[in-house]
Amino acid sequence: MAAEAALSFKSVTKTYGYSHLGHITYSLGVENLSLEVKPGEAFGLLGLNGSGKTTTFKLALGLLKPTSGQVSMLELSQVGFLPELPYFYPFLSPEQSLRFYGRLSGLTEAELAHRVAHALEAVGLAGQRRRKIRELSKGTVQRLGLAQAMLHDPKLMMLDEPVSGLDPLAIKDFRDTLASLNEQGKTLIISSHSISELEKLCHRVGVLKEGRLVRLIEQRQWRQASGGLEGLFVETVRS
Amino acid sequence: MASGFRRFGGALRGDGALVKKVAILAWNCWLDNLGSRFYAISIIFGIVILYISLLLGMLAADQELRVLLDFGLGFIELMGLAGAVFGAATAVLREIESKTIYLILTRPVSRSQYLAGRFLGLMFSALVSMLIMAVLHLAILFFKGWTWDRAYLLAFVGIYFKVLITAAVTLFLSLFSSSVLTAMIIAAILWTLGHFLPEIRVMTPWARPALWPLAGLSYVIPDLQLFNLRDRLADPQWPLLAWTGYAFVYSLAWLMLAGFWLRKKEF
Amino acid sequence: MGRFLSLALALLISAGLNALRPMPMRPEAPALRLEADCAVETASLFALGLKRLAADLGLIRMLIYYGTPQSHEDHHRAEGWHYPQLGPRALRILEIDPAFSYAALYASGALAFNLSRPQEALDLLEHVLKRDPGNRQYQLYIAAIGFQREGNSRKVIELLEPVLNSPDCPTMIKSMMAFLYKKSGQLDKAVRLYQEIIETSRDSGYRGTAERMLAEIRAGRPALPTSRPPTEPRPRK
Repeated sequence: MAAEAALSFKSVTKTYGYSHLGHITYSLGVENLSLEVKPGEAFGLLGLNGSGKTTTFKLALGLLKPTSGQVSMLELSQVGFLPELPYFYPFLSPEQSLRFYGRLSGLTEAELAHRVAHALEAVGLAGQRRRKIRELSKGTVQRLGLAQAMLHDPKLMMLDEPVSGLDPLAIKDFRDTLASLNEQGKTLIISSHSISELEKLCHRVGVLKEGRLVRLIEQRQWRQASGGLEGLFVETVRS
Repeated sequence: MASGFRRFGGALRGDGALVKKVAILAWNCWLDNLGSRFYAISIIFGIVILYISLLLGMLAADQELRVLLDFGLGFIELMGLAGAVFGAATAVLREIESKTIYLILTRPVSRSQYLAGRFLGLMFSALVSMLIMAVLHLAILFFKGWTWDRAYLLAFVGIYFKVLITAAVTLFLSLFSSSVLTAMIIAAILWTLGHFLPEIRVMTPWARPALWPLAGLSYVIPDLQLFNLRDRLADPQWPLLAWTGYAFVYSLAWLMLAGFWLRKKEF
Repeated sequence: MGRFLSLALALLISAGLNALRPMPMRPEAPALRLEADCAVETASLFALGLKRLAADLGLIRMLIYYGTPQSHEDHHRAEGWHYPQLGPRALRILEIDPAFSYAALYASGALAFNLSRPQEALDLLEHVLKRDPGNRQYQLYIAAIGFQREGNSRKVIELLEPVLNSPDCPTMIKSMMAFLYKKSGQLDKAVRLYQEIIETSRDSGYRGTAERMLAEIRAGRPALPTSRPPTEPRPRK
């Protein structure tokens, strides 16, 4: 792993194999992916459906193992993850859920009390801390997902479609929170279909196409381009 | 596998954080079971069956207490087993399907810790459900004039060890087959065969080539008849250390295999 | 490859444990006969490791069988015997659970003292004694039945008196002994035994008989003996 990189992929390939009646079918997840995300950077992953965004996240987090190549990342204790659809135990409340995940992240009881309150406040869930998860709306659960990702003050946050299912006001709140976290020095890796969100938040965006990282676009590039990030993205995927 | 043994060694040495995480996961599993309909139904059904046993006992006249004892212990075992096997078969698969496992495995929690926590929570849930039924059963027995016999406690412990072993194998089967139904069916078959091992041995299967697969299987299937003190209340022999060791080592072997399988699993 | 090595290791550990496991008991005899009308149920209970419960259900069926009055036609069909299946049913119970001596004592007592078929009772007891040769109660019953055949009630009392306090002693035997005490003039023993039956027996038929006999003893009138202590008939569905 390079000394400064928060996340590093070195020629990583992931191939899925499906076996049926002795016959194995292979499909490509990602191919020859090489990428480094610097500490403090806000990095976006953009791509069409099935381009390998979620595969990239899962490889980073150890949920998938690479077929070849090497993945390096900070320790899991320093990583916060918000999956595309965060699933919580329906019998717990937001407060209980955060306490559960906080303990698993190694927080002490003293730290928990303060951090849980702060996280709930930050995502606007302080008033619903005691309701059961099963009673909460999708948007509320998404906010709780962000809360659990930032609870243990991680250095790196990986967010898969963080604004999916949120209303416009909630999207703005989310964006402001993420921007604030990045200003505090946290590294953000955001996968999203929402080009405008990535434009507003990220320093750099990687474009995935059919499992390959086909282009890295710096912030100054899309600011200078007439079509913005969207124009550059469309041009990349259609070429 | 070597790293699995190192982690296990860490737990034995009292690695606080490791044990604490397992305990947190176990407690969460217990809370999950508390809200489970199947868990509640198995306890309620067990209570109903104990009530029905009163009717059977009346038919047995002089042997009413024996019938109450046997019926009650038998159904405590069946209800405990049903809850534990269902829980073991669904414990991890359900979390994988619902993706609640993502938020755990993306934290500094190893898959072995996760599995240990789920299993301990499951066995705690089984113990509580069996104890609830046992308390009711004992109340009925004492009301009918039964006097305490140490054999009851030994029978209960034997039942629990059977449930422990079967749940450990079921957990492995669920991860191996990725199917709840398959795991439960095979567990039920193993449960049955495990009680027939003395009969299988009498058949001297090694003497007949056609029975060699059965003979081989008899060395792998857990000998549940060993722990069937419920059926030997008149003469409950219990070499405590040997049989407790058997139950724990057997369960641990299959749990470690389940842990190894889970470590290789992709999500 | 690692997964299969681990599977092999787990199987080896299991096999090793099973090879080393202590075997405190001999397996039961494989020649088990099942009653035709409940073979599936008994086999299922066996499969679930519930042999004692299977024996209990066998006992309940035997008690219902013995408690159901037989018709005149049944009597002739059964080659002149009432309850021809009493002995075989008891034997099947003992095959399932050899420690369930109550079933053998009850059936042999009924055969010898109620149905006047002492040879059948002796055959049953000798069969079960082979599997449980140290069972003192079986030995005493055999001796008592022998003396009963000779009409020696005094010896029967002497032999069966020690087993009255055994937890396996059927109420039927206690009732018979109380009657023998009464017949031989040992009224205080008869009264004590009838009182014990009233206080402890779960069979309402025997309790009723004991209350009646006790009342008659206290009234100073001898009761006429009955051919069989009445039990409430429980016809089987």
